[in-house]
Amino acid sequence: MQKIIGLMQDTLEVAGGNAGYTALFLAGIVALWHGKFQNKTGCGYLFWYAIVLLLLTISPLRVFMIQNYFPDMLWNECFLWILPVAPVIMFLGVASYEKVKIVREKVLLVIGMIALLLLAGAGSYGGKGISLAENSAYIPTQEYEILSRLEYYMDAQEKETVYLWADATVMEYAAIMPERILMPYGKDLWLGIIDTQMHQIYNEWHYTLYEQMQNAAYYETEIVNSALAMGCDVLILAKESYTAAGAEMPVQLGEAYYLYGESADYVMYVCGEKLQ
Amino acid sequence: MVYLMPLFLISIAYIAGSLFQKMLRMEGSISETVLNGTCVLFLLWELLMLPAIKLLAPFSVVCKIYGGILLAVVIFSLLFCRREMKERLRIKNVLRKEPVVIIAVLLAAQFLYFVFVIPERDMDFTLETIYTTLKSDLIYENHPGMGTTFEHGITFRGKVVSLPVFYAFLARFVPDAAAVLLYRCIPFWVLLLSYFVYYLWAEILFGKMEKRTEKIGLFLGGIGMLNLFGSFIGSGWFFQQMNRGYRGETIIFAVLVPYVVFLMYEIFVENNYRQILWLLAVLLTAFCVTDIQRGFVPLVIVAVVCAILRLAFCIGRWIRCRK
Repeated sequence: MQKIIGLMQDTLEVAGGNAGYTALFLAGIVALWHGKFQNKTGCGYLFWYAIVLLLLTISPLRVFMIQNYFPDMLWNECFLWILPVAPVIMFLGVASYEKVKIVREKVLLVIGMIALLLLAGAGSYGGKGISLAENSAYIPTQEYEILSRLEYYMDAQEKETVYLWADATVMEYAAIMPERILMPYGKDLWLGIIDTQMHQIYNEWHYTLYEQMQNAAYYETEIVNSALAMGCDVLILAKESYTAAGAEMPVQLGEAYYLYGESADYVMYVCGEKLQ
Repeated sequence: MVYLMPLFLISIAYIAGSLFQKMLRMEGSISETVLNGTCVLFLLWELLMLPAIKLLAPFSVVCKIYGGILLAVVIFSLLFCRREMKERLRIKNVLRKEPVVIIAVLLAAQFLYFVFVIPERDMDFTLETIYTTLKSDLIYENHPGMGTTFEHGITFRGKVVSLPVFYAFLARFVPDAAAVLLYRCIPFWVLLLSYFVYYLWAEILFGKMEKRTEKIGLFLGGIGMLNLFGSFIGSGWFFQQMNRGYRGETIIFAVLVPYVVFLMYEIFVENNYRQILWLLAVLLTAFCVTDIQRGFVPLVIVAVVCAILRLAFCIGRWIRCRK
């Protein structure tokens, strides 16, 4: 029972985003209850709608069912978003504003509300931060630098398509380059994205390729053989792998791949091209 | 050019919405027309996509046909609905001082957020799908992360979700700025649509009160602040709205769910039964935007809850009358 109550509390917190907004949401429901005496239809409708959804969301039955039969849905926030958190919170704001008659007090109330919303929401930061990156796809500088070399290579060779095999980070960003770049596997392999509608079946050898590329310094020969077998035009290796292994970056990979360009973190090799 | 895309989408939705409302002999505010028009745009796209997927039609052909349909809609709308559109857009019907200033400032702040904050795309293939579709001229035939053909492909149910390909259609106008379109303009467009819905809610809540304009301004401005401050929290709705604004779920929960609540209010409280047609349109739109579990099911839950509320209200009134 205690566990179920704990889960109900957690669900309620997730529904609001955090405890602060959940508290404001509950206060907003009280304001709606009060408001429904003044504007019976509109406020009453929103009040009962919010109450029924809230009870559905945090009901012990739902929590029990999910906990025992659908554990994957336990932290699926999606369904909690049907709760009208934003309008209910802002109804609280407008209702408070309505009670104040003097202009000076209204200004103070608005400032207080802004502070309250800020403090309730901005206690911690969960985003990826700000970027002033030159490229609109927000590709980090190091990856963008080496991918620009790849673009240059494609232009110089007048290639419309290249087959690239690279370190996972580079491959992730190569997929969002406007050029047609083909690759042996996608980010769903290493991120483990499970999409019930998208059936890309990766075989054991895909995972082997990934492992080899992430530890390139130890698998140079295997990488060259696999790349030739797949018909790769370009290989991009991470310098970090070689630094960790205490090895030097090679100027040439096997007989087929020659160094073409490098950035601070990556080295690019192309098939059959001598050093330029 | 690309930054005008939200305005372009809203204008087209308004024009299409006006035409279809006239065809159904219905009237509506600017907000309702834009929202209905947006559903029409999605449904027309889906109507083209379903046969195109089955026939393996090239993407460029689908785009040309859709472009032609949009052009026809615009021409017919301008021919037959010019007067209504003009009347609705008269300055005194649109601009009221306080809310416009407050909301414009907050909208600008939210737009800057979209420009500078790195979007969440770890588990997402939308931009990859746009580029793959544009480069291969095929619809859902190539793996977005690899650029090569799928080993087993996407199920038909997965292909019904046509939103990423709709973005690819938009990206054809700005091929070098697909990322800007997806990460900056589309979230802003979705945000504007959510403001249209919340404006309708505000009308319900404060429409009959004194100083309604001031209250509506405060309500919408506050929602803008909540979006900005709430986006700091790594989980929860506001983060989704501000960091994954281009995703189908965001359209569902920011626009379609509150719009269904509004339509149910219109149907059951205002007895405007013709809105059932738009309710059906919204429910069908959910299929185009995201998968059934995250799109259609929440919309149905919301509609059922509203219907049960109405039933409970009727039963309560009947019991009171009998007493």
